[in-house]
Amino acid sequence: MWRREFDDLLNGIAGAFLFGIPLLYTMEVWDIGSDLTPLHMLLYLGLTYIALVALNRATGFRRNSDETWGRSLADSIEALALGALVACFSLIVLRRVSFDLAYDVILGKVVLETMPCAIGVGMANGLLRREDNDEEEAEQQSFWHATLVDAGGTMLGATVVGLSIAPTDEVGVIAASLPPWWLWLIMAASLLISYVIVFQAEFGDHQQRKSDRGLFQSPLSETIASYIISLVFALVTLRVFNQIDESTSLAQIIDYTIVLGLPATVGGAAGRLAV
Amino acid sequence: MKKREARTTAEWVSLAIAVLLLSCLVGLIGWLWATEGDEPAQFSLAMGEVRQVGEQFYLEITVRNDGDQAAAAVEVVGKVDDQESNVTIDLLPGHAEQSATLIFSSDPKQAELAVVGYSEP
Repeated sequence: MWRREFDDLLNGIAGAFLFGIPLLYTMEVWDIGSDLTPLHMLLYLGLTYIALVALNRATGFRRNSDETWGRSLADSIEALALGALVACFSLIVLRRVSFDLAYDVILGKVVLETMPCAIGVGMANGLLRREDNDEEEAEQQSFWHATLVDAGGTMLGATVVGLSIAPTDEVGVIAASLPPWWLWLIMAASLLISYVIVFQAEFGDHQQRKSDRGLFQSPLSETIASYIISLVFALVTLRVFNQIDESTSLAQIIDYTIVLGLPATVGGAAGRLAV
Repeated sequence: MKKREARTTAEWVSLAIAVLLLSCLVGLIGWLWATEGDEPAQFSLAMGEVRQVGEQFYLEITVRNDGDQAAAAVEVVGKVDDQESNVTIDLLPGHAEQSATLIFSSDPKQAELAVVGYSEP
């Protein structure tokens, strides 16, 4: 019972990151958030709640639940709270929020980023559930074929997300505000988020896999392999958009790559779900 | 489809935590609202340390917005003898502060600092 509840919540969190990451890397959202009045904050939370009720009627983040109105209303409260937690966590990890800022700035940013994150929770089932017949198909694949398919999906997702974030200023702005040791935190967060998404998407039902599925067979090795691929693709897209070139210092290259690696690995996880 | 299930204890617990978290958030916003003023932006300036780099002096300054409303493009001008340096801060929300650096070619211990303008964000 506790296990299943925990699974459902992780499922919601995975959805929040998948849907929320692009807006977490948008400067305009931080700025608009800094300048929200309390009335607007409450209004936005209210609107998000209404949208969540609608989403929970359709998909939601719980695996087995009846679609009663009471449940949808209660699930939406949880989805909103999960969205707020994810927004808060991400803003702290990306150093967009720290405790020397004014309270209304902190709250405004959290509330505004809560909107996409909470919507992501509400759509978690739609974003993450794989069809059952897909599994059988996958198990018949050979070791190398399975590895190739998963690696390809990761590259695809990492590139799509990387392409949309690499040319923007956000990477530089975030990288510039971080002390070097903070990069470890971002790496840890990237691995953790990627793990949650992977685990939820493929192993959430605790079905033991019977046959080899290539290098991506266990959640842990899948997470690490996909993170490395995502870092490489983050580096490549940064180079393509001239964010880094021959004159860039090694420290800055590392900074940028790890900062972009976070959305890229989330995109990579999404890409594996798509193929 | 599964048959109708009652809410489990675990679900009640997470609902309770969610309600608690959201009440904190909504409560904080309410508190902000209650204590919110409507004062336009007003600034105070503080000088920080001076660093010498070659022939130049880097003066660290802190600009604080004591008003309730945010200000954009806040321009700070510093004067030492006849030399003027300026810096623009993109966005300074109410009750927030931001550091910036002015660069002079002589020692700016006696610099005169002033905010000379800003625009509505």
